[in-house]
Amino acid sequence: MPDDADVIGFLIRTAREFRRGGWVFTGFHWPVLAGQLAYELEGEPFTQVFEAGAGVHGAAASVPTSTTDYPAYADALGFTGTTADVLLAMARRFDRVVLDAGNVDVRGRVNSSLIGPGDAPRVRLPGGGGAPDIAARARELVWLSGGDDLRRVQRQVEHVTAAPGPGALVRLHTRWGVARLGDTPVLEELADIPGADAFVRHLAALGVRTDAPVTPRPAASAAENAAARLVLRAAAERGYRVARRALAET
Amino acid sequence: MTGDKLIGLPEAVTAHVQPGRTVYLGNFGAQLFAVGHEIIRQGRTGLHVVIGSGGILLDQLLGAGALASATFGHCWSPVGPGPTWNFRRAAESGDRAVTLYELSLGLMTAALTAGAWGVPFMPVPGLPGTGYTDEDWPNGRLSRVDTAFGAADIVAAITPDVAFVHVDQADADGNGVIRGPLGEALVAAQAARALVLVAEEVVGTEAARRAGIVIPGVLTTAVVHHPGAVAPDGTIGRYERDVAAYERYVAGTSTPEGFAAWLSEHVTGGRDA
Repeated sequence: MPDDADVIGFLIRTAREFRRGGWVFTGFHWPVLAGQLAYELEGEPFTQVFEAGAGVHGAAASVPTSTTDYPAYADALGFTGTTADVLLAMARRFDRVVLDAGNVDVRGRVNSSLIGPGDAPRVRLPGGGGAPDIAARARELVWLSGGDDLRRVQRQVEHVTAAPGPGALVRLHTRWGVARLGDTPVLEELADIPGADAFVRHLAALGVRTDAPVTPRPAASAAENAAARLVLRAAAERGYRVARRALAET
Repeated sequence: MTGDKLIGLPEAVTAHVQPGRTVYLGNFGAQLFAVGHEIIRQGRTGLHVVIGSGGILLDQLLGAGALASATFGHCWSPVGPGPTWNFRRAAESGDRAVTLYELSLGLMTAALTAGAWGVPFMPVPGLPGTGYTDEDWPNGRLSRVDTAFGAADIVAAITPDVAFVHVDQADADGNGVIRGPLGEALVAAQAARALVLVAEEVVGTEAARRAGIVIPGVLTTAVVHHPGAVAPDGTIGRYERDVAAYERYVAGTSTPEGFAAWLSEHVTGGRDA
């Protein structure tokens, strides 16, 4: 199985969102790992912004267990402020907002808080945190869904925890490819990996346009693969379940 | 220095945490487990807790039966991330014994700002198309008004009876130093009727000034010196977040019996909460 077939490929692709540079609001979980990897690779300078009111200008000394793991990234701290600063006052200024997606629908809305089967959750687990605020104000919103369950991508989420505002550019990264979401959702990029065909069929069934020209997922370099494995190993030591599973897979 | 505000943690909880009171527990991501555990040890119940990043501290207070309501942004273990089982059990079972006021973190900071300013509500950017607006997840705390200046979504003010805020350093007069992001801690300190600083270190006023006072003593009712107050969370320059402790908590509390055992071992020392 090629590297792109697994979580490593997903992580490398999502790190490129940070390597584009600028001020990037960074949500918990996958976005933290993608940002950490981006700092290890060449790219444009970027600043990560965390919801507690932090601006971070370099790799953390150890992979942060979450965006509130202050000691982990203390040495890279620049701006410090409040939650209201970043979620309300500054949100429109950020170049990109990268957030973890639980269940996401083709319009770019997310339900981050469900219990039960992904296709028929019966109970909503309360608590969207800062995602509702920042998603509603993002100019460019990037959802990361790193799991292996296609059902996480839905026609319409049952409960809406966070929704993009009008005019926002919304994209979804999965391990199989990238789709632009919104009123006219379209598949933009596809990885040449097992499961990609099922992903395309799934999106088509949801009304996502899949017949437009699709960009092949760029190949990962040896340096990207090596760096991604290092980040995943470090993340596994810091408690990330997805990292432990990914390393077990590879 | 104008006065000695130093008291012990048990004394602070006894004085300020009573049934029916609204208690803000800080800080965002550096949670005051020491305070929460003292609340549990003293058997306090019927509390209305306000806690931005609920995490396993909110889960522990729920499981211990301390709460009448919780106003919160989210509630999960930040390590893993993992589930908070008491919270999840309550959601799955439909248990409404504890009233939940679910606010986004933006809404919560705005609500605390209204409390700090002494106004009944604060206009907020809306969250159209979400459950906050469409399904009333804030449980009556979010509304909409028409004014001479236009229509606005508004969130009701939160005015805690007491706020417990973690600081790196404090002097005896209640000047507090916070290192790193502030989350909603400062505005909560301003909103509360009483403010208890829980300090990793107590220093002289000159040292606090040199470090950079974030919370001025004029806001502060009492100062508690309690090194390690936010463990197993970490605090800049002193100790790291304890990943293993988080993992043990999540692994050990997936059943009510497991939680009871954890509580007995780590908080109550075998005494009933």
